[in-house]
Amino acid sequence: MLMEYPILSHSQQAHCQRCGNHLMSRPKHSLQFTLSFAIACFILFLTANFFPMISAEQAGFHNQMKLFEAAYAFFIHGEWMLSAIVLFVVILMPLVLLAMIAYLLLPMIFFRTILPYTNPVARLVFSLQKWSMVDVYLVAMLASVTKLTSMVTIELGIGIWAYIAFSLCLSAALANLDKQRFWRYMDKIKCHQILKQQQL
Amino acid sequence: MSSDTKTAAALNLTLCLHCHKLNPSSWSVCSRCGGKIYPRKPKSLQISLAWIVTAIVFYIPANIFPVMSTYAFGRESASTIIGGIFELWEQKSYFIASIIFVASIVIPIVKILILLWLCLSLKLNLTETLRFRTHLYRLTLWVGRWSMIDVFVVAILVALLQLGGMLSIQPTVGSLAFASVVIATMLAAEAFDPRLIWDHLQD
Ligand SMILES: [Zn+2]
Repeated sequence: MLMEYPILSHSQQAHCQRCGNHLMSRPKHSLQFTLSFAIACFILFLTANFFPMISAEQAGFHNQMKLFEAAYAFFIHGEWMLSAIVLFVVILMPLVLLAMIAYLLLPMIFFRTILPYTNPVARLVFSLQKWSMVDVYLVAMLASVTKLTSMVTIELGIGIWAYIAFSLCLSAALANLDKQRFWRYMDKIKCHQILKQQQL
Repeated sequence: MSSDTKTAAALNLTLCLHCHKLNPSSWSVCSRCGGKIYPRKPKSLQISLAWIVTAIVFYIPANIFPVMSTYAFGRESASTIIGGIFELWEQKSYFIASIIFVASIVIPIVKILILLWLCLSLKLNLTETLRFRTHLYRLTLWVGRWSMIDVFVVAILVALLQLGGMLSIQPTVGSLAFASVVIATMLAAEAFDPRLIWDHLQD
């Protein structure tokens, strides 16, 4: 159904007349927030990969887990399909999303320019979002810890705190990345560039 | 609803699902973002139904076969998804047990039923509960990924519990079947075009 886009002030929201779904809102600096959370994510992600997340101990045997090892363990046991799925949704997808967000927003916000392949990259960012399952993995981790405490001695490492922070920052980055805000911002920058060229 | 509402299709316009720009219907590529545009997602119903059937087929082995087997002190025991939930319940971890129960039993079944009903109601040309059905669709789109919890739990247990001969855990075929169910339902929801629900209103 067709509706005219209303002009909104920062605290207002628009909803569809037909199905009631949220259509648009106008948060302040949302894209800038996305970029800063995305950069924080990179650092936290490295921390979660280099420091152990959980360690288990029983009767002298000791084992610990870093982030990428969950996918790797499936691979060792011959379940390469499962390994690929976990690797994809927990590690690759969020990393690729973050890299693409940085690629799009860094030049737009700081240099007012648009890099080549911005359009296909932006379409990918919006269509791939639901395949990043970092938040689901975090809940799974809490469930596993509960399950394990009855069997072995569990210790939580720096890695898990970094991962919790990573998950929160990633959700914040994606929540602030509004589709319409993004494409309108890009239109604005394009106009800007055309005006600049005319002045020269 | 007021009678003067118009749809984009009636004005020969097509919405770009990538960037929400309206383009003339005769175009096949969006003028702003370069993405493919079409009045409705092509073969939406057929593709969606195909993925639902796939999900149902995988759902049976996912629940019959164990998702992992535990070797503890020389004894081997296999556990299915439902078995794992009972175990947690007996350990008095009621909260986690309920989360896993909802994520891996309730959500897949409800999601498959909702998608089936959405497809069926389009075939039957139902004109009631349009708004409700749109809400249901949005729910299935958002909630499906949470079913992966159980697959991740197996991944973490397998990675962590390799404590020599004392205690070790192996993944088994049930996990892969269950992961396939989740992915199939997600693809089914993505293929479905919610605008089809409202199309009968125009006729
Ligand atoms: Zn577009």
